[in-house]
Amino acid sequence: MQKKFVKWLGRDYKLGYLFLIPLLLVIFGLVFYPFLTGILYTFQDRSIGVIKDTFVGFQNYIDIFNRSTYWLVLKNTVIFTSVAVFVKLVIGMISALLLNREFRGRNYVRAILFIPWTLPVLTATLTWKWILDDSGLLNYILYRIGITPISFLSDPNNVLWTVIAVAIWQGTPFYMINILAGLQSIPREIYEAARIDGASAIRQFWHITLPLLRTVILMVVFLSAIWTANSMEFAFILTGGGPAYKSMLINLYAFEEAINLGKLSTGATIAVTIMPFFMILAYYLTKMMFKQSDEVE
Amino acid sequence: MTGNISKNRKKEALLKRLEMIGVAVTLGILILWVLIPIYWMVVTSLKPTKEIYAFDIHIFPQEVTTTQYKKLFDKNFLLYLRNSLIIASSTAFLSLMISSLASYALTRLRFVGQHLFSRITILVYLFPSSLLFIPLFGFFSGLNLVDSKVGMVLAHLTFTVPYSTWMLMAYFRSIPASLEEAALVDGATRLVALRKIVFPLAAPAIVVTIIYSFTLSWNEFLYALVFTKSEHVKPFTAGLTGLIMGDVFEWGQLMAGSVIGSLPVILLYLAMQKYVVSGLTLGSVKE
Repeated sequence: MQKKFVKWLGRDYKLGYLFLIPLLLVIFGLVFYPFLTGILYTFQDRSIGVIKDTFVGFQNYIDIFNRSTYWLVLKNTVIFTSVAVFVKLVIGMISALLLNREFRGRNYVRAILFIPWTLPVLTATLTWKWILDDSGLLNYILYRIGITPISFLSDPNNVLWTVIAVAIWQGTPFYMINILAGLQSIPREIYEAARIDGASAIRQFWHITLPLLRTVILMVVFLSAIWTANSMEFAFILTGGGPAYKSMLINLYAFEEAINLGKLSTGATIAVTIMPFFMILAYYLTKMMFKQSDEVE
Repeated sequence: MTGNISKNRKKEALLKRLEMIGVAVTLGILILWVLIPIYWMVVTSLKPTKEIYAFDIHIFPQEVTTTQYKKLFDKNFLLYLRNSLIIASSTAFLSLMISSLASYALTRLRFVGQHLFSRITILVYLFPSSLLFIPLFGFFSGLNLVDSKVGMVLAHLTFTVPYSTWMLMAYFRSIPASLEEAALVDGATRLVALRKIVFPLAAPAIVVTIIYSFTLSWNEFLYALVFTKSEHVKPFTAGLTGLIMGDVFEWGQLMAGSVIGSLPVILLYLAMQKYVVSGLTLGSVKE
């Protein structure tokens, strides 16, 4: 009887579970438990420094959905995420295709183009804020070549695009390096065969490169979409979400409500409203990541 | 006939040349796009304040000075750096301990629930901090962990541990189990095999894991901003942000702080470039 039980638990169950204890403490103690209390927050009326946890039902959700600001912020976040992800993919793809060619100094160029990803987001964004300032470098250059200065950081029509541009600068190397790794795994013979058949470079790209890179591209895009939608640093540092919420993003909005205004429940509710988006992406990503690691085995 | 062929050859050579020029120009633009902000960060940090705010901007500094750095260090910046260093090293160390044990168990040992735990680990890696920072703040407030280095390390473990575990799992899969099994047959215990055979073999992956956890923790911004208030806890990201509160931007000092804050991670990356890049690619197992 006991033997059977051990067999069911697996050969190394004792050591296995022992080794997993610290990981499970992190996963359940520091992620799942707080996350679930966060869900609970959205049905309560919690504020910083106030010990009160009255149950309010769906009131927080109703309040938020009745705010026009919320819908503006959601729209900003959708634009921010989709444009940033798309442009990062395009520039990352171009960089990767160029780096996949043989030329002298290729490794140095790759190293340089990768730098933005290694920098702390804070220092990179601060530097851009200084460059894009009304009296910053870019506006000085525009002035010298005879273009009227542009208010990148305070004109309501520009702010969201400024935040997007800086996010693209910082995030592109991740695409580049992963697509490059994907390109390098495509056997050269395929291209040679296509060339003999007279396929042009553009046709080769659409009919060979893109289909073979499909999984890599999907994974990079999904992963980056999660990170991008989740980021608040760019908007926080560059514009603070303003003016008039024109560059406010969902995570920064949650931050503002919960931490600056102390309304933990409102903040948590704002954050939770985009959970379905994360769940869908996470579902497909886990599937893809597992498929990939199984293939290698 | 022959004239046609040589004409075609010429055309081909011209096209090739145009292509080369196109590649070079595009790469040049990309390089400038990446390097100009970094150049400007460094140059601004070396200018005297008067020159930074002058109407005419000089691409090359007229006068190089370290005053911005001196002013920065007169504030608490060294303390912030020290806090960052303590938090990031502790995070990297704990993360390595936790993830190496877990990844070994998940790839090499046999027990029920293995697959499920691997999946949960990935799910937690994908878990966005936006869903976590508010309840974590509430949770840590109750435990008196807000505004403490311990709290910062614990918060950083939520993303470094699942990532490191996933990365080490990929690596363990790529080294054959036969070596270790031979040792086990010879009567070595699992722990001895782990210490004497598996860890030495996994050394490159372990180095990457440490660098990654350290960098992620060093660069982290949201938790630093939310969880720290006191000077002796604030990492440099929170400390530097503290300098911009209000309408006055001390750009010289901010850029000096940015240079110093970026330096450790850039140096780590340049020194370990090959490993770091292979660790980042999603199909890292291939290397």
